[in-house]
Amino acid sequence: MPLTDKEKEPKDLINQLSVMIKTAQLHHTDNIAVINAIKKFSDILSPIVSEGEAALELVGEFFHLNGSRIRYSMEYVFNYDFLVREFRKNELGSITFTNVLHEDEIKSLLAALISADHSDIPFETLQEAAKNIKNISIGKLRKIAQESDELNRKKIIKRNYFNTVSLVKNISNKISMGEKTNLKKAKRLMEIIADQIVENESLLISMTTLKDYDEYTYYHSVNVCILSLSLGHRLGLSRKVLTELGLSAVLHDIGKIEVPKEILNKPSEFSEEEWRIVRKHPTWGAWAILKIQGINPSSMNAAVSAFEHHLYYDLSGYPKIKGKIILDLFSKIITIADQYDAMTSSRVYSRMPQPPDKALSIMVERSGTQLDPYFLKIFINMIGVYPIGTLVMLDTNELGLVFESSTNPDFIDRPRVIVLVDSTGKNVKYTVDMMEKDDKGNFKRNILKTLDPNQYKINLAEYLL
Amino acid sequence: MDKTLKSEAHSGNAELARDVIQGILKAKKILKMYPPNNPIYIKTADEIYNKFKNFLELNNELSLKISQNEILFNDEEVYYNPEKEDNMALFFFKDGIREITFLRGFSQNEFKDFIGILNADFESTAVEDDLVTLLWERDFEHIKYIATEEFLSDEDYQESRVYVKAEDKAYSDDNFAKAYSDGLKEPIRRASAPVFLGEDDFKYITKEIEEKGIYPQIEKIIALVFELIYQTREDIIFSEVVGFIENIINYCIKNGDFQKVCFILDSIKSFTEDGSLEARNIEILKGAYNVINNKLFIREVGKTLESDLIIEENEFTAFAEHLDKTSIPYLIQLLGELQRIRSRRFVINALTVVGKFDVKTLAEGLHSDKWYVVRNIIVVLGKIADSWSLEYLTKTLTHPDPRVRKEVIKTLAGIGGANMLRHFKNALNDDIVSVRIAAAREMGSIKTEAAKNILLTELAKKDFLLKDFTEKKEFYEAVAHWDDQQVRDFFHTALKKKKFWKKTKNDETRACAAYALGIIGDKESVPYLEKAKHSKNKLLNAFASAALRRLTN
Repeated sequence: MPLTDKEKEPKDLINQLSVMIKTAQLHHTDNIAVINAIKKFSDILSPIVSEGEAALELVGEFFHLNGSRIRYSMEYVFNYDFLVREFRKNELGSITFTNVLHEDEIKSLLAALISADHSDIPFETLQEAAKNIKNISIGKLRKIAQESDELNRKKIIKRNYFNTVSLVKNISNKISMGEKTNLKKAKRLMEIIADQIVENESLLISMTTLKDYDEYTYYHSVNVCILSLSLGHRLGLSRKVLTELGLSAVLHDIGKIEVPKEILNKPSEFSEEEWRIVRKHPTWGAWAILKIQGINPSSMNAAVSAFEHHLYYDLSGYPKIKGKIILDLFSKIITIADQYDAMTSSRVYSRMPQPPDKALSIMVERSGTQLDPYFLKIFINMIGVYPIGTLVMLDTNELGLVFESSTNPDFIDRPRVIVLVDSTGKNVKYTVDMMEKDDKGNFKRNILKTLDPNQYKINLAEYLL
Repeated sequence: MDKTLKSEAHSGNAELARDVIQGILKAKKILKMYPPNNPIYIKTADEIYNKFKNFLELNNELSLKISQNEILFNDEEVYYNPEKEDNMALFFFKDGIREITFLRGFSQNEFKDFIGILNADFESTAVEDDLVTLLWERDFEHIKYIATEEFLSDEDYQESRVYVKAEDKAYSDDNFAKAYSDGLKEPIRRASAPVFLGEDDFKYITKEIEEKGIYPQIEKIIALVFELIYQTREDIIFSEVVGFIENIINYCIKNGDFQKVCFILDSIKSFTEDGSLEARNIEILKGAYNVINNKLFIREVGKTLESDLIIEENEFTAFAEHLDKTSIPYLIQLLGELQRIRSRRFVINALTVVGKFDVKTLAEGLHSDKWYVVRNIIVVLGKIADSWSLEYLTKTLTHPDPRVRKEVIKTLAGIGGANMLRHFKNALNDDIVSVRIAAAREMGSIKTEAAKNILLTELAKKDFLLKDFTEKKEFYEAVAHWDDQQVRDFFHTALKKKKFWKKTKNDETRACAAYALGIIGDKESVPYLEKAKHSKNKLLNAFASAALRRLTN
């Protein structure tokens, strides 16, 4: 559905604010380029403020205008991200425009933003510089959640995670018995997960460190669902498309219900014949979905993804196809999520999982052959070069676990870490942000090397959830 | 504000809230009945939207708490219904909504979408979305809601088991000590470098997203099912997979996409011929091809034709070319059930394509108790123009409905030509004037001497004078096909003929003669027509003048 003019305004506002700041960073505010940018910004802002004030607030990774989240638009992604960085850098949480603005007022705001750029106390500098600007007020960046909120949020996220695992199990049971499943409940869970991604992507991704050896397929399906939805969200997919993507991801391995348990649970390497059977699961998955759910738009999406999730970007992989296939967008996303979760999980036939960062490097090697290189780039940025669950040794001789990826796109290699052993070798538990700087402006800590948490039997769930 | 004013404002707001709810109720009932471009729909929708607007002009939001049978605004009941039927509170409650809030700024577009969601057919098995899903997917800027997630919880599921199992990993301080010591010793291993996205990356991604839409294109599913057929060619589930083809054909038919149906059928043909399947499986696949001839499928075709879907006639005809003769009885049955003329025309085309393979079965349709089915089958037989059909067609000359008799005369002329003369001659005495005229016209088109003589005999009959002017004119026009002396003389005589009794009727006949001479266009007739032009009878005068104009021009 095309967006109405009204719905276009907020994202246009973000885009133009970004363009205006960038231009002002290059030229004096009296320069014609800046004045033109100001005029355009004013044209977009005026109809909004004429109906009341316009409060632009950064909450987490998203801008809200008067309390409504502004949709993340691929069209303006560079400028959107730039503005997020600008706000963060200046510890700026909100700008409120209370009336139609005069050119001079906007110029003053730009000058204030630029003055804060070089300050050690950016927000205070900005606040001081902007205090006399009529019709504009600014607010400091809020910490998203207090500790109690965080605990509560974790609890809700965990509950929904297990509800989804249970759902996958029920759907699998029903399909194996040939019963049609009503997908209303599944869709509701997808909506909740998608909402949680908006609110706290890191926490949700940390849930995917949960792996279950016996019920691998159920947990794996949920993890692939979360990773796919996160990637889909980053791509700016609409809510309706996200629901469909989530459902397809949850059902991608449904064909495994047809693979004999003796094979799936075989502790040693598969024989050629066993591999032949395992490789049929994409075909069986598509067959099972279309057979039980019939031909309808949702089942078509799910069947396509089930069939294509082991067909690689270069159409190698399996099954060996007869005709020509253009891989579906969902399949490309799910394949990436599937590989990442599978590699980082302990499975019956592959007991030793890869550490998350190693898994990512293997995936980078597969870029353009097995995996879509474009979506993989977004996935890496989402997961961070040190994904959640990576065991890291810092240059301070501290050992820790990555528990939250960096939200700063310029520093995705600077996550937040739970330190487990301090520089004296003592077992501890405290968190550090790799973005923290010392008095001289240098980063306090740097990641020196990564280690494999599985090798040391470290239970990630215990620390991350 | 003092207490009294506050309480007055409160009760005023409650009244407005009540008004809005009544509006929503009305919207649910009335707007379902009309398409959005209908004036009643537009007027009612505007009226209801204004109720929202009025409320939100005075307040920042309208927040309604929902329970099973009641809706509360500021803890005051503004709606109550203890019944299950038409219960607005229950409608929201059953899908888990416990509170819904409309915010200032709620636009007319949002209102229209909201009404569209309320009127979704939730009972239909095709709708796998509940109210919450639809609201969520629409992502309203000015509607907030609170939905319970109770029903999503699975009490039986052991959340803790995964943690218990994780203890297998036997945490101990030694593990950390070992990791720490290794960490100090091991060589530096850095993770991959961060990746940056460029304009080209975004262009590619945007294109991929746009191409995807929400659901896969049907071509994608067709390709998938043919791949599945290939993958399962040695599998026990092969027959079931082939069954998907039937489902997809049905799906395409339901969506009026006959072009895709043809594509699928052509693909089946290619698949059965490319040597990738064994003979046994080829037969199974051919079965899927033939499914379009089934009664149920033909019924689906009928439903689609009767719908508002746009169907291209050439695509439908191409589809009909895939049908075989076993579909004929069902198509005939469908012809009797269809209400729309356009739909019948499509089925007539299909029968024309497929009927030629079995005229006998097609002719069974002539026994239908519905006159229009019989007439349509006659049309089809006429289009097929098979001489075998004459035997069946002549039997319908005595059909009780004159529309059928008229149609069959036309058709017989097309197929049988001069050999059908005796049937036309009989039809000249039909009780119904339109049938007699049809017979006369067809005789005129045959143009044999025998036909001419039969018609001239009719014209010469005494009681012909008394017939209705239109019928007489049609008969004279039919005879005018023969431009010979006998006919001209006959017309000249008729034009000159004067009568004392029944003068008006006679002048009508003379006018018909003048008209016919005008058609023949022979200059020899000018003096006769000039004379008739001066008649006092206005009709004769007008027809003679018109014929002269025709002759002189």
